[in-house]
Amino acid sequence: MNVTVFCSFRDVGEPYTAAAKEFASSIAKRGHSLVWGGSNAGTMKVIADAAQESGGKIIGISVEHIKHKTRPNADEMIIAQNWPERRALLLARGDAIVVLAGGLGTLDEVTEVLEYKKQKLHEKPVVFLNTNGFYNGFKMQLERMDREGFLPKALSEYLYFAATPEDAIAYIEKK
Amino acid sequence: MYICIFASDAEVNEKYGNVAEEFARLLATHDHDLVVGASNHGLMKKIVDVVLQNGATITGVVAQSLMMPPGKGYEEIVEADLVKRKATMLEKSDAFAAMPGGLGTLDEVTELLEMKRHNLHEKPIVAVNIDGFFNGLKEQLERMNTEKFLPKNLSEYIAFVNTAEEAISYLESKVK
Repeated sequence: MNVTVFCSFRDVGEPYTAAAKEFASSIAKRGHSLVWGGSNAGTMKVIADAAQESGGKIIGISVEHIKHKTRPNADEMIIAQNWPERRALLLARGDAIVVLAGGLGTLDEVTEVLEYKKQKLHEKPVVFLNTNGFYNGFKMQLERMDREGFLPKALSEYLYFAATPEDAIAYIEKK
Repeated sequence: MYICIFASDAEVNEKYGNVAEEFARLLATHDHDLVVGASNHGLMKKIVDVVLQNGATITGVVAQSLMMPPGKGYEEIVEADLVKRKATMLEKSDAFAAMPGGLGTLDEVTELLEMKRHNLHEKPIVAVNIDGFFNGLKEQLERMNTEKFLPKNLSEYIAFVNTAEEAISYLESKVK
């Protein structure tokens, strides 16, 4: 399957980089392709390197505004015209969505994917790789919304928080 | 100024409704106007009703017509496409306030934060943290801040306040 990964284009701390590398390498070894933001920097570079070194295919979806930052040797590189189009393509090209530690861009991408799931525009599994409890705050927010009747369906219908890369892969393969 | 409010369209606990209504009243009595993007139900409806009762106008940027009576300070822009709808809401508003809501509210707020990061706007955003509703989001953003996932300090992007009064004061201090 194609696994879309949301992550940072920055260099992030060691525990996150190690988990990102392990995740990308594992999906490649299991015959899955990586769909990602296409940049050749930060975590984006880490996962593209790891997937390729493990023999996996990589499919980049960049955007006009930052196309000079794209990775040169991807199996496929799509340049979206604008940010909303890029987000739509990242969702469209993946069979599952995996969220690594990231900043505002990552949070924006995944909340849109969740909102679309709520609107029944897709049913793709969404997994947060919760390395060192990075997403505990977000998890707490969603659990409160769930508990107090702000979500139409139970939280577990929308997403899954995985403690390790292995746990994340097991979840998307099951779905 | 035009203040855009994000809030749930579900029936939610009274403690949220009371503060949301107070904020709506302050908004109107301080001569501001309201921009909304949600449907006219639940918590959102409470806000809309109070704003109209207190004589302020409402601009609805909505996916489909809310069928509210025209000529009572309500103007409507129908935009079915979510991406375009969010862009129009940004254009029509000077400031943003998030009340307790669900995935839609989170999506709107994070998009505004991300656009602020890209310098696509500089409009103030306040989360009205009634009874600690937004503590999870706050904790998440603080962790991103501490671990250097944000290019600027968190306080440049969003403020978390506890009361309706603090929320309106914060927005007024940021917009002339």
